[in-house]
Amino acid sequence: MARSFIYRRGGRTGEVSFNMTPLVDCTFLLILFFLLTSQMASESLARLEIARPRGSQAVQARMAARGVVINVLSAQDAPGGTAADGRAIAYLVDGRRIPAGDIEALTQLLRARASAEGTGRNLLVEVRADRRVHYGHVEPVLSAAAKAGVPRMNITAVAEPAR
Amino acid sequence: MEAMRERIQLASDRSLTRRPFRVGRGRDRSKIQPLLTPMIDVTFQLLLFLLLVGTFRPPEGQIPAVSPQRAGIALAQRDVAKPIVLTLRRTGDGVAYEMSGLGRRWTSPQELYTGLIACRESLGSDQVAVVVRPGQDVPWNNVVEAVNQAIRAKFRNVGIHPLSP
Repeated sequence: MARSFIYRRGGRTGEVSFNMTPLVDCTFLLILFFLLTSQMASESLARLEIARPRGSQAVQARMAARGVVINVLSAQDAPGGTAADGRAIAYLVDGRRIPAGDIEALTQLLRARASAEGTGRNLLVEVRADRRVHYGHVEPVLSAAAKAGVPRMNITAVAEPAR
Repeated sequence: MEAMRERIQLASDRSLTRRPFRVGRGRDRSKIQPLLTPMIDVTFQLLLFLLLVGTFRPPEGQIPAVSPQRAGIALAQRDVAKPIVLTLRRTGDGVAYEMSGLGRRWTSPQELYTGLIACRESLGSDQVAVVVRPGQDVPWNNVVEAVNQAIRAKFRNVGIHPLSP
């Protein structure tokens, strides 16, 4: 018969011990769960507030199929930023930080990526802007992509959970 | 008698002795087992680390849109009919969505969605382009909201208008 939670060890009397095996099993299962479900920090994805539209039509894509991700960071997260600040502070592309407003540098980077792909039509650009940034500060990014010859782009938004 | 007492004493001393790494369990002395305590310690440390460091991010997805290129808008105009221009204006407490030509104005995404559905049904086509034209001070969240509602209303060609035409 299997011994339960507390059992007598060997033939000795008076010595009791916890059965550690189920405890270790559960702990390992929990660790495995966390390792598999958590998303590792990615160099191309900055921490920012993503737009959350009602009845989101956003489709989840695999990381490999995302192309060039342009992160537009909000000035609200910068030191001294206020809640009313709708400016962008920087663009983050492939781990490279470009100061907001330096559209020439952004266009050159996108052109280089487009030529690596053959033509801009093959390049997929994903605009991942902070939801609090005003359109006046995101539009130059969209225009830079258009100047680099990229006709279509994806906008990042929170996707609704699959049903 | 004395020898027997010594033997009993020796046996009880042995039973109290703890061997550091390998412990013979029970009567079967050939069975060895690693000490579990440090392993459990490390495992709990790992678990605590993952619990404290891990942050849960909402699932992200992509909404397809056309870049603000004049050529794209001209192409849309040539296609079927005049595009639906959706102007976004900042109001005191939020953003208003206005549809050109119809003179209609909505303030919530749900109203915008209903209006776009009605518009598509009256046009009888989903090929008509929808051009989202936001003001400079409109938050990006509302721009995404407008594009999302147009796609949700089953319009196939949705684009964003540049600030300087």
